[in-house]
Parts: sequence; C-alpha cells; structure tokens
Amino acid sequence: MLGPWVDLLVFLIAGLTFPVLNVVLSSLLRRDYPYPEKVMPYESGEDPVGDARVRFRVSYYVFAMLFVVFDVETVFLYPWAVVLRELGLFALIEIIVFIGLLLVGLYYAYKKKVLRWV
Amino acid sequence: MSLQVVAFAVLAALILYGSYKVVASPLITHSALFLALVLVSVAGVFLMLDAVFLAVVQVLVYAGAVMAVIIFAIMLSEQREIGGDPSAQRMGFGEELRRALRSRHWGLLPAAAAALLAVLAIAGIGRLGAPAAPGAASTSVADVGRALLTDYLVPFEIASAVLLAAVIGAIVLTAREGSDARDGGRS
Repeated sequence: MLGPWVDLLVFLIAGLTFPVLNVVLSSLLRRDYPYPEKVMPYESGEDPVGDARVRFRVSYYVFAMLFVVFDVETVFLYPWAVVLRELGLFALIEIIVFIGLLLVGLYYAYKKKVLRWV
Repeated sequence: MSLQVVAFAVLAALILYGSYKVVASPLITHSALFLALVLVSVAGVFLMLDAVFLAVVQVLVYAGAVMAVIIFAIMLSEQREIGGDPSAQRMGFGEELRRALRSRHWGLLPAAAAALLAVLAIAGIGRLGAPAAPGAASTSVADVGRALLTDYLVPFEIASAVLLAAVIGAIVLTAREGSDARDGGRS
C-alpha cells in the first residue's frame, strides 16, 4: 500500500532536490578560480598536517558496538511499550529479564573500564 | 502503470545498483555508503509491504547503528582501497565487471551461488501463489509486540542473551588490542 507514504516520498524528493539544486545553482553562478590555498581542506585556518586517513583508536569501536547493542534493545522496547497495558505483569517480568541480561553486559563493560576515556 | 509499480521499480533499481557498487567500488568507504543506500532502499520495500515497524527498524538499526559500526571498522583499518588501481574509478560498467570477474577465480564461486539462488527463486515464484493483497496482512507495532511477548517469548529472551554475547565479545576482542593501539591513534 502506497497511499499514506506519498507524503514520505514527497518529503524525500524535496529533501534530495533542495541541496542538489543549491549546489548546481551556485556552481552555475560562481566564478571558477581555484588556487592551492583555496582548495586545501579548511580546519580553523590551520595548515593540515599529514593524511586525514589515520588509523583511529580502537576504543571508538567498543563505543560503536555498545551503541548497536543498546540500539537494538531500544527497538525491542518499542513494541513492548505498546502492548504493556494489554499483557500486564507478565510482559513487565519478561522485559526485566531482557534488560537485566543486557545490564550484565553494561556492568562487564564498566568493570573492564572500556567506558572510561583515556 | 500504477505509482506502486514505479516505486517498486525505482527501489529495485537502487538496490541492484547499490549492491553492485558495494562489491565493485575501489574505495571501502564508498562501498559502505552504497551499502547504506541498499539498506535504506530495502526499508522502502518493507514500507511497500506494509511492514512499518520493520521499515523503521531497518533504518534505525541497519542504516543507523550497523552502518556506524562498519564505518568505525573501516576507520580502524589500515587499508582503505581495494586493488589500489586508481584507473578503476574511471572504468565503465562492462569493463569493471569483466575485470572483477577475471581478477579472482574465486569470484566465480559466489557468482555460481547467486545464479543458483536466482534459479531457485524463479522456480519458486509459481509455487508461492499470489502475493497477499496490500493491507490484508498489515502488521502494526502492537501486533509485533504481542507476537514477541507471547508466541515468540523464547527467541525474544534469547535475543537479549545474543546481545550480551555481542557486548562481551566486542570488549574482549578490542581490549586485547587496546593496550598497544591506545597511544598510536588520534584522540
């Protein structure tokens, strides 16, 4: 069924067209006069040092991984919250078990000190 | 041709083009971006099938969180380019495909598997019967919740155990490497 999603489609098209149109329009209107200082990556007026593609710290990955896990947890909470009134105490106990298991993981991360930013 | 057919054709084209570019882009970062395009397009297909919750989950978890992890993993790796041939970016579709097929003989294995899958899918179309009428099998968030907390209670709780394993696995894998990589990178 497409009916209710036409709004979304229009929003998507408008959202894609606006930036593309602006970039195209400005490229038509502006002067094309590049010089080395102008095309270099701008970072607060500082000259860039080295390559942008450095190897990042591995601790970023733990945070991303934890984000995925708790993102998935949030997704599971959503359908639970909708039917909580209907299913009552049973659903409440189920979700406590569900979140409890994940809190064990969070406690493990805390104990392993991966949540600390050094 | 109804709007629905047009929408499906556009989504299918985006998915096919994106999936091809995922494996054919010389830069891994570009592959990741094309993968995001594919995942969002699949969410569009879910929307067309009236699986609203699934579409939201697809965008939230796959296009959001999983893509974040993939991009983090790319930023952690030393090698960002596949093949290292800058001229590959300027190649046409046909040449690109020919080179990809020629470069590794092992590429034939997934190609054969995909062909087999396609044959099976085409053979299966007739057996499945007509697809459900749109709207007939509409699944609301409440339906999903009811199913998860009653009929699929055990998988639901197992999901939490799997997530716990994912947390611990990520910590164990990165903590070992963490000590020597800690001062090497950018803060």
